[in-house]
Amino acid sequence: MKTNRIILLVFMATALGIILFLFNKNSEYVSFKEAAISGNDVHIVGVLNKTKPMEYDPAKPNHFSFYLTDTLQETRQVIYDNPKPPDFDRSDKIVVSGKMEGAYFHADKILLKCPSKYNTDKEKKTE
Amino acid sequence: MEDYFKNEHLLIGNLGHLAVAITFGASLLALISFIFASKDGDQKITWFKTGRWAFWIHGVAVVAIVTCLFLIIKNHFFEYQYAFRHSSLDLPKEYMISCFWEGQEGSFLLWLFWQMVLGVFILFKVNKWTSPVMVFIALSQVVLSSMLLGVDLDWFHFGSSPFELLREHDTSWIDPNLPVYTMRGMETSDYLKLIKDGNGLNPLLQNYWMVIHPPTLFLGFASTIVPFAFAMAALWKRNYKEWIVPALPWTLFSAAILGTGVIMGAMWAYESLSFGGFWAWDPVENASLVPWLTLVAGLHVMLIAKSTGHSLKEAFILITITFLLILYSTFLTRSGILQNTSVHAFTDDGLSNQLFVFMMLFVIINIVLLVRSWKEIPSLKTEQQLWSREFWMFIGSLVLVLSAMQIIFTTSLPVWNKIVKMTGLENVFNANVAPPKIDVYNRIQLPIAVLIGLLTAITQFFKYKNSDIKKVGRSLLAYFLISIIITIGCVFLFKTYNPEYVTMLFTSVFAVVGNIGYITQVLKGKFAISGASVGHIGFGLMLIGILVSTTGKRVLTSNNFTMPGEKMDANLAENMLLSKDKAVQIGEYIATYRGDSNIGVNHYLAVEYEKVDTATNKIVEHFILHPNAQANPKMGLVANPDTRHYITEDIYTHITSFSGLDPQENKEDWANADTIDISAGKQITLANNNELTLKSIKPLSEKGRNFELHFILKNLKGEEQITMACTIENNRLLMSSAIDKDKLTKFDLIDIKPSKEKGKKDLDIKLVTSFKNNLKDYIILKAIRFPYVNLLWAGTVIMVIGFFIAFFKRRRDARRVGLGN
Repeated sequence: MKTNRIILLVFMATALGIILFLFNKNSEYVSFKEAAISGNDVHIVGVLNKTKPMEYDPAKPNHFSFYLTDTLQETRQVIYDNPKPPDFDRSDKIVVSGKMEGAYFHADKILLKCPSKYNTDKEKKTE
Repeated sequence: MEDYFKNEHLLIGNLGHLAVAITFGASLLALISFIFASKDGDQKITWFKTGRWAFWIHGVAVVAIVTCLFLIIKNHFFEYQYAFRHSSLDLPKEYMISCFWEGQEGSFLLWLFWQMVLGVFILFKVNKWTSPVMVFIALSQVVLSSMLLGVDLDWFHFGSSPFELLREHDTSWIDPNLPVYTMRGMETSDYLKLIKDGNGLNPLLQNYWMVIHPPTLFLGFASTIVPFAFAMAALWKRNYKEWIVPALPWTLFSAAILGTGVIMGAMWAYESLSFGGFWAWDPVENASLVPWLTLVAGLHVMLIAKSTGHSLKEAFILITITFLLILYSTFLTRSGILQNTSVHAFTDDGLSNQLFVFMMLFVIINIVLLVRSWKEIPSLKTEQQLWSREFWMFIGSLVLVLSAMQIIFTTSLPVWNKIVKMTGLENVFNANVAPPKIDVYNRIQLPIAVLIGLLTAITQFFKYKNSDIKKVGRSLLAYFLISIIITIGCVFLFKTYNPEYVTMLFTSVFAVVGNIGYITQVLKGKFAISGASVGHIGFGLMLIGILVSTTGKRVLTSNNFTMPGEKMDANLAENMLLSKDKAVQIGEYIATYRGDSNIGVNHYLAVEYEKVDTATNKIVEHFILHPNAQANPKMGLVANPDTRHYITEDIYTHITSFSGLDPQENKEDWANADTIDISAGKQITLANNNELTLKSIKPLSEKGRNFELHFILKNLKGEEQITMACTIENNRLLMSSAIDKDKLTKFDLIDIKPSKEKGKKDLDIKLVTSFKNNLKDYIILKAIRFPYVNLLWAGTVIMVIGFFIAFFKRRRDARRVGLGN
């Protein structure tokens, strides 16, 4: 076999390896329950639980805490080390990414899905 | 019925509709004519002339659409939904053009416009490739202009017209309280009186980058059609080799413009988005980067095919897949499928089915032609030599493809989830895969960048076919050693010690040094043929800039301050509160928030930075940044960063929150009110730990109805005397108050009465103390230092210059054989 063939083969094998590695590295959309079991970095889709307290003091801008109810209706506290996102109160769906740390979910990213990003919207009015 | 409504400007919209119809019809005619003109026969010339006329009419009609839409936006004709949705009366003139790319219709129009311009260029110089190439361009024009048709059949939505009237539009998304909503019931004929203003342009688009970035990027998107059309024409006409010569300058042009567009997007993100950086691996960014990677890979494979005859099949695949990836990217970002993963993906406007059909149309034509011709495409029996330029160029192209594959697969995960759910294979595959962190991209792309840097450095020193490895090694050795020395210097300069980063730094430096060497040693400084090397130098600099600014990025507002009893990762505490006029240490700067100048919805929050030389105590650096926060009624906070640029670093600041956002909160000037009882001679510790002593109560009049209260307020700075006058009239205490010198504490007298304690003639005083509310005017700030980000921008400019040098050279080559434009 010629050297260039070997190099090509090695290259392809690496490519395959990277792709397999990738599929193990991806996060998943899960519930709090699964997140607690796996302990991995995950995404959780949920809604803000408005009956529970939301904690934010601008004097402590690196701490924001709220309660999120996931799609299986389980509610957990979420702690986020950044100021409260400005349009947080109007979001209808919240995607948090991070991991469970004991009783609470430590989020490093919050993605808000507002009823509509820009257009005036019916849903917002009916709230 | 049309006359029923008053004050509408229907003429311009009707002209627009007419122009859309002509655009579509003429491109269809051009398509048919060019198909016949591509076939041999007597009518060939007549068909070509018809096609050219049709295309020119098409071009005029496209310009007419653009003009009509612009006039509608400029004159604020809000009866048109496009103007209503995307503009407003207060929109500055310079941003009116940006309305074009907020809506889907406008973006397609822009794309259509650029492809039309490119088509006109191709028609200027006619050769045997013109007709078959124009077939594919005309086909694409038919497809794109149909996206603007706005014809609704029961079973299919044909496009969405930018000239649709608000009252014709599906109004369910409009505010139900707005009277327009009842328009279908024809309740009001003079509804335009009720529309006071349009919905306005997304504030993120009201930025100078957003005026130039989208047209550049769309020209880049549009220009990929030309190499694609050449490749398809070659497959169709079974002329498999010759197309490369005329297609090469177009490929270089496309790579230059698309690359510029992608980096401009990065600059826009850096200058005006608040995610803190120029690249976040967001699906929308990825979608424009991936076709560039495959295009550049395709460019290299085309050069191999041209020079050696190897890898022709790969050239076909890569060049055609680039265009298909552009379509796929458009589908991804415009179909609403990415909504859970991207901040700025578009929502589905009902065009995703049509987009999908068109994407598949091109995919199928492409596959059919490739399969038909696969065995006919000449491939050399001889194998590539190990020590040949083509072999290493081919490896380099594969590495680029690998990079593109990783990015597009990861970006497509939502599509994967959807397919798994649609096919019901949820038990076999995971249908809940979420996008990974940025870190995963970086970790995979880093070794790829290392390889690319290395190959960029060495490949040009090999000759096509075969070369003497010893000779190559000898000429590379010097550059290798120089690069090692420079890298060692850079490690200390940039303070990058991580071995992975140092490796990437080395290969990037090697790429720059190797190509400078190639220009001086091999090309003897001949500018006209140095395009590739100049481009590679720029690319190497870009890699260095990306590496150093990303890995050396430091959050200046990060502090190690932890609340007692609170567990907090110091690295994650990246935001800092700045109360008005209170100096805070940020990095080596002393930063003070100086206040909010409010222009409309825009708050420009002035942050003063001072750097003090500790030895001389002199201010050595002073500047004011104005990060902008828009308290947008529709989007909440839209923060635009402000950046202080130096040659070697940038100080980037943006607001993560500010007091103007929350009108209910902290409205009071004085907070933490507390009631205290005090009598003469008594000392009380206030809530802010200051000490208050009532020294004496001095009657001012005989009757004892006027008093003067003398207090001593003691704080860290010292003591101060506070005098408060008080008057009792008709047995009622008149309100009186006093404020301390620093205006931080306020005392309100609320009661004064004789002491209850027996035998004392003293007076008991009841006071309310309250303190200046520091949180009344505050910002929460994030400041980041980006070192050497200018290397990325400078590298981009050099790379684009390189592409253009090569473009002119390849255009001369094509013209020499009579195939150039």
